[in-house]
Amino acid sequence: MAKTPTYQMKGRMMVVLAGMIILGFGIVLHQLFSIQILQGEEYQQIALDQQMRSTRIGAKRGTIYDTNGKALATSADVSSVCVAPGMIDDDEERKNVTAMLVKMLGVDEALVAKKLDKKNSLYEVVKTKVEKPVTDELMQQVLENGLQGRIFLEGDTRRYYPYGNFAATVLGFTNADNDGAYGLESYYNKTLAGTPGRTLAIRDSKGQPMSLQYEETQPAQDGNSLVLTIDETIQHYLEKNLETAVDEHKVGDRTVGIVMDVETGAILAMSTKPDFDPNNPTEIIDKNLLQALEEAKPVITAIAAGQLWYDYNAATDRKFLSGPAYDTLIKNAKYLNKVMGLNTIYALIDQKNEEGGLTQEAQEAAYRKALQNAQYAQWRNKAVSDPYEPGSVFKIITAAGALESHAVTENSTFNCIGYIEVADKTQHCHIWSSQHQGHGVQTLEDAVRNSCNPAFIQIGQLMGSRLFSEYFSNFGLTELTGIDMPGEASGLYHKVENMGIAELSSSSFGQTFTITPLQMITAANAAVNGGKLMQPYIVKQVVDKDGNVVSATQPVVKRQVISKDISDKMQLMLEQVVANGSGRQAQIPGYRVGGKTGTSEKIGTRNLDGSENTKNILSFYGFAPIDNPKVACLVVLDEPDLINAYGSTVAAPVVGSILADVLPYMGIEPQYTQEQLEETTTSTPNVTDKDIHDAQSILRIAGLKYRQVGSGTTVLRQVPGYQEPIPKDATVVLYTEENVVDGKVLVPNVVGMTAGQANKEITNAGLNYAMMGSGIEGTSSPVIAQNPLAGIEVEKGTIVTVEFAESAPAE
Amino acid sequence: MQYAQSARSAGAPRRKKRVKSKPAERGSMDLIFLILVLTLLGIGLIMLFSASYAYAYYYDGNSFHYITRQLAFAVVGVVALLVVSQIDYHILRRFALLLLGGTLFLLVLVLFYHTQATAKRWIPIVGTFTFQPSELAKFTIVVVFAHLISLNYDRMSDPRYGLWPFLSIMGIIALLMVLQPHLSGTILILSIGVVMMFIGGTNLKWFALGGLFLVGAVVVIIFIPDAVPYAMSRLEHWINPASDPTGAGYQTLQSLYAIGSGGLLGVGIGNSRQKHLYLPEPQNDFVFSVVCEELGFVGATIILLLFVLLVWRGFAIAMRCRDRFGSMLAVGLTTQVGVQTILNIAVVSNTIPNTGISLPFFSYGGTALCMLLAQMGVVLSVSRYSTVEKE
Repeated sequence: MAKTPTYQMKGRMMVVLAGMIILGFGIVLHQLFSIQILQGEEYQQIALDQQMRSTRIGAKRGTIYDTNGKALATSADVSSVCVAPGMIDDDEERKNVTAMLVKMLGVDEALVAKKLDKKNSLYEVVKTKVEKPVTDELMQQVLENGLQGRIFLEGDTRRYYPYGNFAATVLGFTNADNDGAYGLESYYNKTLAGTPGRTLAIRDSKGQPMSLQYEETQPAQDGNSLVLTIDETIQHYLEKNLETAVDEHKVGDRTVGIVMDVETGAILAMSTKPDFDPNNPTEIIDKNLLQALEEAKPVITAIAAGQLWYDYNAATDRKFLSGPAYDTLIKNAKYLNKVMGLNTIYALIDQKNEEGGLTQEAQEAAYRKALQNAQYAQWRNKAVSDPYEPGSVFKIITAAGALESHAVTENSTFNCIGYIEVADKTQHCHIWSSQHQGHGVQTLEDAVRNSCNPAFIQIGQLMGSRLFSEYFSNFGLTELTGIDMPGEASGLYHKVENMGIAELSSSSFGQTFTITPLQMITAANAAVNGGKLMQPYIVKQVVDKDGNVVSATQPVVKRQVISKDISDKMQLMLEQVVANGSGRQAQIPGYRVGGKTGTSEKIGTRNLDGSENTKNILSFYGFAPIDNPKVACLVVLDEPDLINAYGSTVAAPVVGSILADVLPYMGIEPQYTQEQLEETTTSTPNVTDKDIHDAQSILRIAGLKYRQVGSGTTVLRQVPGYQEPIPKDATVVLYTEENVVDGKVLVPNVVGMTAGQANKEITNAGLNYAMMGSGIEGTSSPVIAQNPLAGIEVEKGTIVTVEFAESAPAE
Repeated sequence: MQYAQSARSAGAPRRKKRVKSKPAERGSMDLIFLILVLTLLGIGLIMLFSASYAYAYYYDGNSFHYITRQLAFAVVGVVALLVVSQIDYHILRRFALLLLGGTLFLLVLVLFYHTQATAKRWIPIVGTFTFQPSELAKFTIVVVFAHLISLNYDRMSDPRYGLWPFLSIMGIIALLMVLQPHLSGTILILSIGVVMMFIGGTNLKWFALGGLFLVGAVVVIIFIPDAVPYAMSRLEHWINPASDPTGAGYQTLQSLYAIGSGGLLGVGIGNSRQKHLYLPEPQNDFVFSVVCEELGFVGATIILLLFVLLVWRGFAIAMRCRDRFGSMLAVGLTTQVGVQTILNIAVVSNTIPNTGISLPFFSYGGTALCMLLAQMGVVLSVSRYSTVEKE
């Protein structure tokens, strides 16, 4: 029989039991209470902080539409390809991942290796903005090779500009983060960008979603879209003509064009050419800038090699570039100063002297700076950012102000003897150089038509500096226009207290002060639209992603500058400029066009060799129709490669071509005079060897249409040829390139057809239709003969002459 | 002596003489204890699954990796429990010396033949199955001490009987385990041994002396940090686990985040977030952190209460046992469960420095679970000979 436990044992058991329960379980329970109840929230917060991953949900950037809803800038989903080096098991897998990324994305192997070296990382971006077909194929490969989690995608968006190199300086572009960097993209960035959302989700320690779905989503608010006042078609007309003008006249410092609604101030088109492709904004496409960069390279090398230095004249405190490379690299440089100014060159020389040479890095840095300057130059929207001296176009403002202030009347006369003395200096009229005489006694209208500087000096002086400055200011030339675009600049002008007779005189014909092209067209519009200075605008509406209008821009009348009465007089005066004056080449048959030419010297700007810049700025302001102006266009060619050229011969035909395209498009019907209607045939004018815009304006004024073949800027051949009889409204084909054929066609057989049928048949074949004989329209007399004969192969545009039977065909 | 009875199976006819003279001698087992064991096992299995599936899915590609194995061992363990509960525990006295010899042999063997050189704790058997001699050692020390105490109870105050034999056995086993090294197992075995010596009647002055020795050791560790390598840094990480949040303090911190996240009512069963690869080995030593996170303070308290009830019931069985061997067996085995539970929860709650110790009925581990259930079977077997009231 075993002995039962003693009381001592039982007692000690009680002690142990009590000890275990109170000391053991009691203490841990107390500890749990402390952790869970007292510090629970604290620990919970720390735990949540490590478990919660906040993911950004990108907001879709709004679209930029033209006035008719055509998308000019739009966003599409793309992906960033990422790797998670921490998920890669071994070197074998690392090799596979690298190979796949290099093959599929064309990324640098060293770059991938560098990313994969961060072995604990779970998120390394390899390439951004990868588009759909590539990512689809990549993910397919990832699946097939079992590399899920090692290579993954992250959503992003990318900006597309479907029209490419189009309205680029207006639209601007976005940077890698999809933020607007330039142009409207920048100005309206907040509107377009929207508000990104956030997903708060629980992730395990490897960053993967947990099986329990805890997600808190704050949805992204997509950006709103912009509807511009820009009309894609009008913009296209403008850009086409500006591009041609740039090539025709080898414009050195870009060409600006603005098409504006005269009544509202809405910008219908705005362009600076050459510009850039917003899809790839860093690429330089301006030939001049490319040449400038080519010129910059050897300059940097020459400085590094000690071939180019500067001498310093302490007495005059001036520096002179010098050295063996000076003649070839600086004196002959054409565009170098666009990307590398004198101060940059001096600084580079200083750097070389201080450091005893230029390292490879320093040379590369200097070139990168030049490249950056070239990029900034091509992104610049000259229409709002570059003030210029408007020259004679400004006479519109002087004339309007003078009339409104009663300084002059319509009947005032101004005598021009070919020059005028102002403050002991002789100012010649442009007529002097060719005719050695003046314009004689002119009315205000004559003075405007002749663009006579002596007359305008007199007008300015009649106004006096106080009144002149008042109107200068009233026309908005001392303030920003307030357009909804970034980078609007203000020019330099003489303040009234500093305006002497000389300054007043030069200012009255548009020199010695600067304004932006946008200020110029806005002010000129005020002179012809009834006197209202409008605030120009480019965004018509802001719409949300469902197309609801969030806000709409109402035209803003800044002030009434001149009376309607004076404005009406200005319209007629400016019509005379185009009808009989310096603006003839802007004529458009069927339309009453008004306008003003402008030629201004770039006084005060110097070339790198210290010589004076003799280049001009040629411009033309045109508007139509005269009695009820709807549309105005200003074209400014900065530094065309022409000597002694005038705005009348260079800019007027460009504006004429643009308006000739735009007016019918805008639904403004031509109204021919009786005379014009009666004239049914004409003789083909000679346009061979002329610049495209000249040829176009000649043909347009002759009542003919034209079609350009080839991309040259000079007409090499024309069909039909000079002096061939041609019916009005026929099309003349202009060949601008050698060996380019517009295609030959077989002459259709029209014998036996009526006039209408024959006309249609011939025109459809791309040929010109001409009648001979006394066939009377409206009768059904059949064609009895044609020349050339049916079946002969001829060039398009060839005239096919048809002969009708007498009204009563003889038996 | 009752050895003759030990050969009998439960349903075997009893000798009439015994039946008449001691009608309650072989009663049915203690149902409350059985229910507590099975309840804890059931909750343990559910929580193991909840705690382990994310970890299992990530590392083994199979959410059921741990739970299926543990279930299999649980079934084997429950069968073992039922079988053992029907066997007369007195048979163990015969095997006490053999058990001690075998244990010592295996403890030596594991030092030379093991799965893992950094912690020489597991003897490989077949495939992925291993055997942990320390698990056996825990049982051995209970059986051997119970045997010695019941044999020499009257002379226990004499150190020759009541101190040195116990200290020698405990010392050798502890030494072998320290060599593995297996600190937590050593602490557990020392705790069980000391508790059994205390109850078995060893003179109290030795405990006072031992206590002094312990205090001295702590003082040495604190004032001569180099005396015991790593002890100081371990203490530092215990006091301020955030000092090395990604290194030594990581496990403790993640455990605290889990427990703290539970709050009063918990995030709900299955909803622990910390088990998603934040908490290292959530299926093992830190399963209770997940329990706390999912079931909250209330759930954790209920589970602790179940353990307390189990310990109480085990001690009750011991107190009412008719012989000292059975009594000491029940005390030893119950103490083992109690102390291990307390130590585990103390570790996960950073009450004591982190040392690897598993939670009975909850932590993953086949040998351990089978051994535990078989040992509970021994307690149940003892209960059949005690005068505990049966429902």
